[in-house]
Amino acid sequence: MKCNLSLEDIIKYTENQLSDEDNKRIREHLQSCEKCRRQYGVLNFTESYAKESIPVSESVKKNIMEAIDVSRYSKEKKFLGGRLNRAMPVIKPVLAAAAVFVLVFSVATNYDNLRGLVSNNGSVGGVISSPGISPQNTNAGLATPDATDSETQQPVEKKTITVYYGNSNADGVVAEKREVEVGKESQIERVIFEELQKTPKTDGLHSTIPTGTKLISVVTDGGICTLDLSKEFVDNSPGGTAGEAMTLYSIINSLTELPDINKVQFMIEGQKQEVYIHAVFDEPFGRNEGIIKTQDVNATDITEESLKNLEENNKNSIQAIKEKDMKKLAEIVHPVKGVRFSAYSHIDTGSDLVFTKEQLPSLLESEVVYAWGAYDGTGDPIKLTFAQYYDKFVYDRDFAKAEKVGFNKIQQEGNTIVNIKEVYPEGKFFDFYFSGFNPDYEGLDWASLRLVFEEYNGQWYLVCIAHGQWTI
Amino acid sequence: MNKVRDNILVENTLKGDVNAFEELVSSYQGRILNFLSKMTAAREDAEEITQEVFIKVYNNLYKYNSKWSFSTWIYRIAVNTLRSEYRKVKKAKDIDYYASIPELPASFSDYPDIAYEIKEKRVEIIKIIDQLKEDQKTALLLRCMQDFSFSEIGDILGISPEAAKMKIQRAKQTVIRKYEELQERGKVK
Repeated sequence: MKCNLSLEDIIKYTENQLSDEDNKRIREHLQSCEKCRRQYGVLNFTESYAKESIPVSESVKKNIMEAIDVSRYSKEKKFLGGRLNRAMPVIKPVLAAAAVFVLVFSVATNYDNLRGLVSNNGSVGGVISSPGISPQNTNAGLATPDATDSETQQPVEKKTITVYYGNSNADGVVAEKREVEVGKESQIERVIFEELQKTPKTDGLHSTIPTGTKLISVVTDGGICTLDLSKEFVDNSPGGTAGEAMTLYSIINSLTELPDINKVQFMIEGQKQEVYIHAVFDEPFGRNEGIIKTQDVNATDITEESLKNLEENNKNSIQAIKEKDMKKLAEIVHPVKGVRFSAYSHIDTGSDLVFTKEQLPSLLESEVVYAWGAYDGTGDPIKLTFAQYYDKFVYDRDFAKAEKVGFNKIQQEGNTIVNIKEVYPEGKFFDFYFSGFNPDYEGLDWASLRLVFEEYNGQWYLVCIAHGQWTI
Repeated sequence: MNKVRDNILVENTLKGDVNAFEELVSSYQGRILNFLSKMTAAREDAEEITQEVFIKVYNNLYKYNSKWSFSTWIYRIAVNTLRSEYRKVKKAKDIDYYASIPELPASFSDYPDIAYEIKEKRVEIIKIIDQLKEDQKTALLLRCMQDFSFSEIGDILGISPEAAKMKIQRAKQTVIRKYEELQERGKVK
C-alpha cells in the first residue's frame, strides 16, 4: 500500500489546521493506512493523557490558605509593596531636608482629613485603578511630624494631581503631573476639571474639553463622581469616535486618579443623556488604562547639549559601576535625591533604599547589613551588606558590555510591571539588557540594569539603579 | 478560562478579599497540579510545587500586569518555579509511578484496532513523553492540556510564538517516531 502523506499532514490534521477538503482526503486515507492511523492514534493519546486530570486533595488549598498572609492586602494593614505605583516621586526622608518632608507629609494628611479618608484606603489594585496622592514611604523609625502638625488646617493646600490630555495622534491620552492649590472650600474634582481645560505643558498634547464647557456641579458619592456639564460639552464636541473617547477618558482617567473615585457619570444640564455622540452615556464610566499612552520618548523635549550631558553621565555611571568606583559614581549621583537601589523591575518606593552621594563612597567597605526589600516570590526580606547586594543585584552581569542598551525603553518586561516611568515621570533611563545566558533557559534568564537620570540645575544626575531579571 | 472573571477575582483579592483568592485557587489548582504532576516524578513534589506557585501568585499579585491573561501568568510562574525547584525534586519516575497510571477510556481514538494497541503500550508512550527535552515536553503539555495558543505558550516560556510552535512540532514528531521504532522492534521479536 502506498502512503503519500507526511507526518506533518497528520499533525496538522489533529490540530484542525487543514481545509475541509484536505480533512476529507486524510480521513479517507486513514481508513486504509495503518501507519498513518497509528501516528494519528499516538497524537490522540498524547492529548488525552495531557488533558486527563487527577484529583486534587483538599489539603492543597488548605495549605495554601494557611500559608498566605490573609491581611496582606486588607485595609487595616499597611502593605507598602504595590500601592500607589504612580504616586508622586517621593523624596526619601533620609536625605531630604526635614522641612520638605514634614511639608509633604502634613499636606497629605490634611488631604485625608479633608476628604474623610484613611490614607491607606483599600485601593491596592495599582494595576487597574491607581489612587493618586498620599505618601507611602514613611519608613518606621524615621522622624515623623507631630500629630498636631497634621491637624492644623491650612486655608490653601498644594497637591500633586495627574491629569490626562489628548495626544497628537488622537489615539490616546498622556499623563501630566501638576501641582495645584486647593482652597479649603473648593473641590479637588473641580480643580482637576479646570486644569483639563487649560493648555498642557507638553508640546504635542492638547486639551480635549470642548470649548465653552462649564462644570455646573460635581458630586462624588459611593465611588461614583457625577459631573454636570453645560450643553457646550455636546454642542462643541469635535465629533468622531476617537475624539470623543479622548474627551471622555481624559476626564475619567484624571478623576479616577483620586483614591475615592472609581467611576464617572456624566450629565448634561442636569439630565442624564442616553448617548454622548457615539458612546452610551447613561451609565457611569470606569477607567480605561488602555488609552493611556506615554509621550513619544524621542520627543524633542531635550536639547542636543542636554542629551550629550545625559549620555556622557550614563557612560561614566556604568563604567564606575563596573569598576566599583563609588567615588566616581558619587559625582554623578543626584545631589538632593540621592540614588535609589531597586532589586527588581518593580520599583518600590516603600522599601527600596536610597543613599546620598556623601554616603556612597564608603559603602562597599561597610559591614552594615541592610534590608533591601523582599525577595521576589518568597517575600523573605533581602538582608545583605552593600557589597553583597552589589554583587547580586547591581553588577551580577557585565552590563557595561550589554547586548543592547535601550534609551527610555524597556527591553524586556517580564510579567511584573516596570514602573520607572511612573516613579520618575521626569526622568530618562538607559536599559542595559542581556537576552539570556544559558540557552537551556530559553531567555528566562534575561537580565537588565536600568540607570535612571533626572535633570537638576541643567545637569543629568543618577537617581536610581534598578535591577531587572525574571524571578518569580 | 474566563478572563473577565479572573480579573475581577484578582482585583477583589487586591482589595483584601481573601475569598476571591480562594476562588482563584479552586479554579486553577486542578490544572496547575495536573501540569506539574506530569512534569515531575512524584505526586508529593507536584503538590508541594503547586502550593508554592499559589503562594507566589498571592505574594506577587500586586505586580500582576493585566496585559497578560491571568492563566498565562500563573503558568509562567509554575514553569519557573518548577525550574528553580528542579534540583530538589525527584527526577526519574519509577516503576510505581507508571504502574499507577490509570487506564484511559478507549474513546481517544476513532480506530479501535489502534486504540487497543496504544492502550497496551500506554506506559511506553508516557515514557517517551517523559524523555522529551524539558522545554519540548512543557510546550507539548501546555498545548495539549490547555489549548493555549502558540503566542500564549511563547509568553509562558519567554520565547516567540514561532519558536513555541516549532517546539511542539518537534515534540510531536519525536513521540511518533520513537513509538514507531518501538513498534518495529516489537514486530521483529
